[in-house]
Amino acid sequence: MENIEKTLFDISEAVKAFDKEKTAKLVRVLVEKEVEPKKIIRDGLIIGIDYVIGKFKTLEYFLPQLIYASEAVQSGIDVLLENLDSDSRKELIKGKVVIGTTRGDIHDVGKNIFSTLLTASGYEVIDLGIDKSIDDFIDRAEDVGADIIAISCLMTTSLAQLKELVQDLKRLNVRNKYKVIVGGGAVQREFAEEIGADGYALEASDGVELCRKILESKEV
Amino acid sequence: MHINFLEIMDRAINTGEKMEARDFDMKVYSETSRLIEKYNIKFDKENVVNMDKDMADRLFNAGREFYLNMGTYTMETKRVIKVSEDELDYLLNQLPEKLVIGRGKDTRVMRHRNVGDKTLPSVQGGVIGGKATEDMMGSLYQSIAQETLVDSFYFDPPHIIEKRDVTFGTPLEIYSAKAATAKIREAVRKVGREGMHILGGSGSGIADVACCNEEGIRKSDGICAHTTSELKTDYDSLNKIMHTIQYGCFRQVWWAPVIGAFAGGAEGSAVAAVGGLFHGVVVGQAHLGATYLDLQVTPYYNAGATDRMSLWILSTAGQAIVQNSKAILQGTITTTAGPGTKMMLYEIAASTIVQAVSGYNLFGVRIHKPTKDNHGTGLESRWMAEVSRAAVKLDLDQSNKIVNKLFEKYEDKIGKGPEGYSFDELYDVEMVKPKDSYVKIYNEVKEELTKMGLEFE
Repeated sequence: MENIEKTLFDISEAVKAFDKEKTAKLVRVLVEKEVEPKKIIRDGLIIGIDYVIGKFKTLEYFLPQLIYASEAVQSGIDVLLENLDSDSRKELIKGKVVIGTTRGDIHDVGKNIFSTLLTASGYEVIDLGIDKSIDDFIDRAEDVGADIIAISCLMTTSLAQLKELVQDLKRLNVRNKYKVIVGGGAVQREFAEEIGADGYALEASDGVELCRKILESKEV
Repeated sequence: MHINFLEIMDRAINTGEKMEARDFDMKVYSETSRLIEKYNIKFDKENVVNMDKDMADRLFNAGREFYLNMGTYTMETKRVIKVSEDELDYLLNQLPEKLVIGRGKDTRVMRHRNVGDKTLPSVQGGVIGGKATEDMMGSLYQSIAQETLVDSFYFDPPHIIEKRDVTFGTPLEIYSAKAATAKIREAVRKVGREGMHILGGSGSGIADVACCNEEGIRKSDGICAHTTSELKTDYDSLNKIMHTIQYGCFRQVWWAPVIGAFAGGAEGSAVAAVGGLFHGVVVGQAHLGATYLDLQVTPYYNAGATDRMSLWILSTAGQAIVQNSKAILQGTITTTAGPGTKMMLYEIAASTIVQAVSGYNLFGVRIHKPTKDNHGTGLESRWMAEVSRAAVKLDLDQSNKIVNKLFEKYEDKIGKGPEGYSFDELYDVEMVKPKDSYVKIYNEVKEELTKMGLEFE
């Protein structure tokens, strides 16, 4: 038992040190000892990533460190997933989020921060990148069975596409399959409500909490 | 060694080394981290107006080395535009020291300014990203054009035109941009400043290009060419640059290091801020004589650009650039609070003072997160101009003291500032006149700043 606690501590330290290989290796050790995956995440990976996120928020760490740490977390989660059946996998992943910016919007820093924070928080993130069509979002969401479609938007001339996304989901009779959330400099809360989005976040960290809340409500 | 724009475009499109965007982003961080150590760059939160001339010089060298190692990333082709030291130095040495903008009696000169320069900065007003609507934009921009201390102004087209949503790069965007430009021309005519320099900011290149004619954006006017953080360009921006070179109008090339992202914190972002100058010079072909170079700072967190870190970056990077080049540098004033509030006027004043004494010309005002349509008025541009005229009388030490007093007024509200009001809430729209309630706030803040030591004209 003591060894397990020590390894959990070492996992958190490996995440803090952005060490992907060590994180994966230590997680594998605990999997072999049949430690509950949720415990490995809660008492190891999350302890490490919360530390890094805290440093990011106080500007002691920056986006690259956040990315490296989230990759370490992901390496640990990948080990957990490869040892689970599909039902258990679904239970472990908080949700699948397809994220990107729409045509004409090439601003990726805000999206990258949000995407990294989501990964770090245990979501499976499918990052389409920038300058993507509405069809790209819908097709990918269908392909991967996403729970959430998230769009970051900094250009007012890209706003109409957010409205079109919601309309297209309705037209294709798949609106109920996905929650749609929007954010970024060009988006106002009123606009999000007007187009029928399921959520709006001012900042990336708000977006993570928003995802948690709307997926909880989806389950209800 | 001379390098022309065709060669730059060729490197962007055909010949530059290919690289994945993620690798480029991560290289930004490793380079800025290395260079802040090598050149001993230190953030000083007590003195956001930089007092250390030597450090500004070191920062310039750090920014130069940064750009030489990074180059500019072309997003569509994944190619990196790189230049040699000889090419970079040649272009830098060819920069003009002044630009004559506008036409006829409304001509203004935009100059290279130095640290502590007593010449007045050029003031380019606007409601940047403030979502002017079709019905309101004529009056809104007239409210800026009529401010006689404002030399020129920026505008962007409405995102809804004749009740139709405007989407990037479509015929509706062209239509919206042309309709907006016509309204702007009318606004400057109405106030008797027909030749006033205007700067168009459509999203797509095609919309800007469509407006470039004698009835719209003239050769005495300009359009904006953006840079994606850090050091990234794209075909829209390159098309705008190529078009302005061929058409013969001005271009504003802007870049905006994001604090907390790939460049790192204050020091790394300052290196990226100076690195952006070289991007502006090389890709913007500033030596050809029709380019002004605009530095914005964008914290990833909700702080406008009036927190200590942002203002220090603006000051130090600006000083680095103007002490070591002839660049005609412009800085963007970005606030968290909205118009009609004292906080916004404090923020504008702080940023204006920092920039005016650090060698900038001025561009603003931009709200970090506009929450309303028509989220700005001419009075903020007037305020920027009035403060700049008083600020040039200050030395660096006096500036720091006043900015520190201003921090006492707004620093604790950064990130949760009041959203303020829209143009129609603050102005009599038909008379294009600020309401008494706003003028009262304006005068009260002016009085407060007078007591802090600013000598207004």
